[in-house]
Amino acid sequence: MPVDAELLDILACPNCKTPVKLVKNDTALKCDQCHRVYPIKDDIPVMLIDEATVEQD
Amino acid sequence: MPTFSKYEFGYSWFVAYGHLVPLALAAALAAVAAWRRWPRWVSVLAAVVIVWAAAGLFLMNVAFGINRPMALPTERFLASGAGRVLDAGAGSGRAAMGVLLSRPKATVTGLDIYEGYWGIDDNTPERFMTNARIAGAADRAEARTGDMRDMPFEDGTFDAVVSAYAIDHLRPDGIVEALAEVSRVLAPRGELLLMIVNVDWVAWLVSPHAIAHHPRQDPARWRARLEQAGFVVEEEGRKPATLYFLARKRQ
Repeated sequence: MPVDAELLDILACPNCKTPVKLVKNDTALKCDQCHRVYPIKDDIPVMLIDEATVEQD
Repeated sequence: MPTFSKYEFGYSWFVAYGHLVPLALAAALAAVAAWRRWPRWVSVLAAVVIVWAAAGLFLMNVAFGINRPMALPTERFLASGAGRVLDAGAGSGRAAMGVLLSRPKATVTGLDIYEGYWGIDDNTPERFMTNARIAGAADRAEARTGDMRDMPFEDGTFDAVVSAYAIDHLRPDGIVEALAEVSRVLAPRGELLLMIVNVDWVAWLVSPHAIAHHPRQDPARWRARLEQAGFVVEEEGRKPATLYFLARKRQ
């Protein structure tokens, strides 16, 4: 079951507190401001700054 | 660890049933003392340990109900029964399930760092969701891995926050950060139900571990921290081994 789109509206980057968007075939969440990418493991977003990767577009 | 509950909160066997060890040892001692006709004080000592261990077992499993969803300490929390709730430091979901069952129109987001050992075996967001399914409320629950000092939510997202025996495990500066984050993600006039471990007579009876690991809590200090984070304390009270505050965010 993919992460529910409605639930996504309440998720934000823990660093910037701004909305994140689904990327990589809905397997990760990205913050447009700081370019951090947060993994989604077994449908659970892992919103930890330490476990994010920074990926420029 | 099998439990007598349908829920799978995963508390380690020694957290829930650790009293069985001194209970069994004391019972064995009492039996040997009777058989070998040892001095009376040995039997008395064994009896004292048996009574203490039985009381601890009863308090932990029946009165406190560690393997049951939490009975919330106040009916005034989310009195409407509806709204978007955050459980900060949700773990396997004992408090969240208490909210989902007693507030039938509420949704709960469980946030936890899911790292380190906090008395729960295999503490994962999957376990949280398993308990939500057992509660029949999986459609109203979701789990997120995150740090309550840096919450992954926008400002004003939640109508209410519940947090049980979690924020008090942080260092003092972490407590200030977490309460500021709770305030930030709450809507104006949103409410917080905060529960912390209180070393009272129940804690003394139940858990030498709790006494060793938790400082004596000064309610005035927690009130001051809440007010500093932008809350008005509306209710404050004590439950077994617990100090709780119901606080409302100022406009």
